[in-house]
Amino acid sequence: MLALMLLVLVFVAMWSTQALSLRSVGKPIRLRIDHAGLPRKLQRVNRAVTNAAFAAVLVAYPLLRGESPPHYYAGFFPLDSRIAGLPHGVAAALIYLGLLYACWLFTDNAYLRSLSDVRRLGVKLAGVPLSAVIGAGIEELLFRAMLLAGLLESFVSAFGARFGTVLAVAVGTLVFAGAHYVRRVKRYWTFPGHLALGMLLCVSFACTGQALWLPLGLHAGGILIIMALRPLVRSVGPPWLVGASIYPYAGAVGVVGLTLLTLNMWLLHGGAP
Amino acid sequence: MNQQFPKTGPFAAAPGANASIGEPVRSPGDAMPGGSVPLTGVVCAPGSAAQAAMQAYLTRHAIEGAKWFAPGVLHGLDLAVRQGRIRHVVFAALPDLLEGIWEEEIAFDEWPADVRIDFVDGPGHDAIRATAASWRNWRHRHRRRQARAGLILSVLVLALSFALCILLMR
Repeated sequence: MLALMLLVLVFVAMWSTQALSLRSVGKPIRLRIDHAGLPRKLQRVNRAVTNAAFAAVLVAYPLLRGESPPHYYAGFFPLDSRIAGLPHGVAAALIYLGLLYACWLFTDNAYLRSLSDVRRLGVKLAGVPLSAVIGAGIEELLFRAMLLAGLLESFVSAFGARFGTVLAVAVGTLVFAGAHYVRRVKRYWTFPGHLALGMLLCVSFACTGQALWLPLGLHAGGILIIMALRPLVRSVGPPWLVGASIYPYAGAVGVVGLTLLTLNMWLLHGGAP
Repeated sequence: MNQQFPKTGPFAAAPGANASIGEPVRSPGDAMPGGSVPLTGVVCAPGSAAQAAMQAYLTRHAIEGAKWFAPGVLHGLDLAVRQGRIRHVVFAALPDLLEGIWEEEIAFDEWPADVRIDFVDGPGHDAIRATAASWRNWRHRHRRRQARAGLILSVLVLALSFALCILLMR
């Protein structure tokens, strides 16, 4: 529960910074976290505070438990057979999303964009793998190594292994999905997609004995293919089919796909055959 | 293409008409090279309200032996026009022609310039509006077809992905 409280503190820090920023430019304080209306400089300050708060929480959590951060997080990267979860996760994400994109292109629900500036595209694509690793890495440390591991510890001791794990995965999934909507976003109908994604990553973490390799591989593989195809492919199909923008998994097909992938990973990495 | 007239029903050949495209019949068009008289092609949905109006139009203009085509299956008409076997086409309305173009059943750019095109229910001054409405309707239907195809293929692809993951990672 300590992890959950620390995450809540991050959102308090985000809101407080925004409130101070709004007051400093003479605007009324609002409940919703939304940088709109703030000068660019203050938007950057708010973003920096958010990132610093997440980093502080990542460091503070192990320290409050009496462990050093490197030692605590290293425990989630066991150097045993579970390391294969990383390439497995990347491959699974590429197979599922790659084939879905191919079928949407084939049925004209997505188009290939015309390439006007190949050099610029090359620069963009070159940065994608690093972005995928960093983006997935931070979220996995926060939501799996810190939050879900903490929830598993609390709930398993309180409710037993089976029910405690199910409850921890459910709460971890809900918090992961909800965290994507704390700030003002363009669309809210993508929430079921985030729930399905959260379930995939939490189940992958729980069914591999709390190793981060598999969820990290799945998460990074997903970001990799979405960001790599973003400048190349434009989706034009209905949102229930192709999702929206960087959320191709948010449509009905995506949610079914993520659920199927969850079952896939559960069967392959620890679930009953 | 040598399509046969239906013997009965709304698309039955007009009395005295020849049974296939290309055979000499009487029509209001110009005489074709070689002395044969070009056939008139008629595009009208069978059993529709426009059918009676089309029959009246053909009677009024003394067009006999017209070859009837149903909207949505105009490849035969397109081929006959491009081959010069039909040089006069009567559409029930402008959207019937446009639908044929949108669906790529009619390669309108390849129709000879002197092909005569008439409409029983002419668009009048609303041609642009009718064109826009036809395009919008077609796009709507086309999108639905694409989405349906995308959904079916997505389901197959997800099943394939599931099987591939099991096979490759076991």
